[in-house]
Amino acid sequence: MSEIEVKEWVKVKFGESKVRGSEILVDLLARGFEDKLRELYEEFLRGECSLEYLAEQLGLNVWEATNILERRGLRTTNL
Amino acid sequence: MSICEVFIPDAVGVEAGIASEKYPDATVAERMIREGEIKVQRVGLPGDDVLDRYKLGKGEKEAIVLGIEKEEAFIITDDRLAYVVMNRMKIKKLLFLDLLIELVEKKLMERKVAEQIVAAVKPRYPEGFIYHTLKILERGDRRCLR
Repeated sequence: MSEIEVKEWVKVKFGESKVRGSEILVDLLARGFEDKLRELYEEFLRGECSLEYLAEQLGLNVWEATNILERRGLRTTNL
Repeated sequence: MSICEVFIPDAVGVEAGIASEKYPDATVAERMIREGEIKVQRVGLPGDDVLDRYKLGKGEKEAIVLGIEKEEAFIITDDRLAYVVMNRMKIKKLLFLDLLIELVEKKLMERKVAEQIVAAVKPRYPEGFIYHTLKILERGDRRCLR
């Protein structure tokens, strides 16, 4: 998730003021998101979790998760 | 949709509705739900925690329950974990590519249309799945070893 996407996500979840309020928060969220995404994606590739589970754990829906993976050039099936 | 009935559990229908403003395939799904071409079924998840012990999404868990309720139906999934859990529960399931093969074999879909769909979804699958599917469609033989 890019910084812009994290800002969008914070705006949706917590409101506009939080986005303006803390660049550090955005940075931390982006890093945390990337770490969590990497961890879940490895589980997904090993067949230990599903794509929908990965999406839910990141606060996304399946379409958003698919979009994020495809933009990174990552596979969206684990066959 | 005249060639088969399509059911989705409530959780999947809700997701399609939420995503429909942003993603074209979700928009199509939402329209098909609205027009009754895809039927949304309310599903009650069982009280025991067997499905919850797997790292599956809500929609997948509901689809499994729906598959148990509709014994004649096939669940379509390309997720490895969901497929394995369904296999353990002896639920009928198909990979999406195998659904296309079934429809062609049962003469419910033109081979050419199936090949076009395979070409469209090609980036999502490892190469072997695509090549094998095209060979089955060409030869009408699942094993393709001769």
